[in-house]
Amino acid sequence: MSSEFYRLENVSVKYGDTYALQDVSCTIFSGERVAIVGPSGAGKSTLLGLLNGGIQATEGEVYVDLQQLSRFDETALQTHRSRVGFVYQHHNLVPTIRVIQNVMSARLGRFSLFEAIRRFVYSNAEEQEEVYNLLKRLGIEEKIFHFVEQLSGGQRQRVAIARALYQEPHTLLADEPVASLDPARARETLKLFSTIAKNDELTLCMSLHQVELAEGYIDRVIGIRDGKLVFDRLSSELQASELEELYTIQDLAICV
Amino acid sequence: MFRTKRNLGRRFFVAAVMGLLALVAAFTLDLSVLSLLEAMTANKATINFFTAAFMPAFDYQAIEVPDSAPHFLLRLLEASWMTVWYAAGGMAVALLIGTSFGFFCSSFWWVEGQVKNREQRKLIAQFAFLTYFGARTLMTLCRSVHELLWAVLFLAAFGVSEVSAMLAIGIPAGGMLAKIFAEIIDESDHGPAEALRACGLGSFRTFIFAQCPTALPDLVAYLLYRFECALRSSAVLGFFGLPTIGFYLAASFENLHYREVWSYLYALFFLVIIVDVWSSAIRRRIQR
Repeated sequence: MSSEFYRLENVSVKYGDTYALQDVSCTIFSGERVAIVGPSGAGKSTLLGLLNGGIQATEGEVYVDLQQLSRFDETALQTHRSRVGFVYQHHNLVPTIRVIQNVMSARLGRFSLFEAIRRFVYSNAEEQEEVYNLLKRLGIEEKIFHFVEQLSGGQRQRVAIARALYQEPHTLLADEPVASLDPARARETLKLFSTIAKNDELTLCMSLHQVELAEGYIDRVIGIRDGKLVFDRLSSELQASELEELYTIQDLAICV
Repeated sequence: MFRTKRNLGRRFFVAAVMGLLALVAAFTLDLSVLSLLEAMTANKATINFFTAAFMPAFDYQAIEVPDSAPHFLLRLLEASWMTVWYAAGGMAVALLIGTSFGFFCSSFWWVEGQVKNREQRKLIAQFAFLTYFGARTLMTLCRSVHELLWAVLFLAAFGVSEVSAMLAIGIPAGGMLAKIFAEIIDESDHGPAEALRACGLGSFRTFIFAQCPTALPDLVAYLLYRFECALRSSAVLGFFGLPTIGFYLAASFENLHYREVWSYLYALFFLVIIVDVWSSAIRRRIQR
């Protein structure tokens, strides 16, 4: 929990003329569980994209493990990305293939093309066992040979988590993991993410709408609004007024 | 709201223009329903032909049939089977062309490919654009020539053989498959591919492990539709002497055996229905 893992230094991301993120600086430590909160369109997903290298900073610099991300060559970037597990809001699974194939897809960049195709088409007992154990941790081991399109939304999310964990990641990123869930299920899901991160010693970053749901499951909260950093606090030090501020200005805008 | 109104007006305008064009065409071509009826009733052969539709033949209409000839229904079955056979052969060629060129005709693998080095990216983009453009042009050439014209070419080159039939059906169908496959692949959800790219997979691997499986149901549905088209082409190729339904149909027609003609037409009709039922069963299985 002590060593710095990600550092953003005055980072801006521009799409055309509009800033998705503007002059954001923050540090995320190794093994930390962080929630990124803010209203819709605040730049939460962009921030996650910066961490996994999918989005490049227009200005400023992103450091990963003390190295400048912009100086990474193609191979180094691929290696970094392959060690960051990303759970998408819409899961981004292939619906027409089996759960095990979706999970095993995560490592197919590591082998020769022939071996990759073999693993995709015909997995051996050893590989199946590994995926089975992974799914068992998430409580959906009986779904291993089901097709993804047969699964419910919650089960799909767990498959997406399994795929991310199968990457053997050092970081787990989740984009709006509880966006469409009721409070009880949302708590359960956040607890799952939190326990996984703790057990596997992963750095966890989740973008959320409401931080209240994540109480007890996160170490730190980063609040952003309109692409700007509003606060960056340990969750224990977070003031209710700060949270209120994050959303109130938007409320006013709606009233006007 | 205003936009809807304007659209309605434009639609009405287009419909009116089309109706007007139809009227103009009817007058310049001197079409009238009465003359059509007259032509149908004046000609005995026409009446015979259409009444034969209600009593398709189950045996040869000719009085003298050589002893070596199989029973008519057997011949019907054989003709149908050969029609399916040639269509399948043609589709095998088409599938080969469609899958290989479909890859190059899609913009997925070069637009989405993430290469960090700017120089490299430029080079790859140029190369990719050339192959993309080349593949698209080649496929357009393939499908701009009709099956029958290909058939004329290949029959001249290879004579009446399986090869000429396969190529005549396969090349234009392949051109069509490549184009539509590429479009289906480009329009399918890119989310799964994005996820695998984030796992460190390259363009080609995201293509085969994510994009293609995602697009699979639509690809199969289109392939089966194309098979139906191939069946019809295969039947028509019989007019050039290949032993498909068209061959026997032409012979019966020339001998004025209209009831036999209808039997062959019904056979083709049933073939298409069978393929249709079969394809919807497959689609249901994939799409679950």
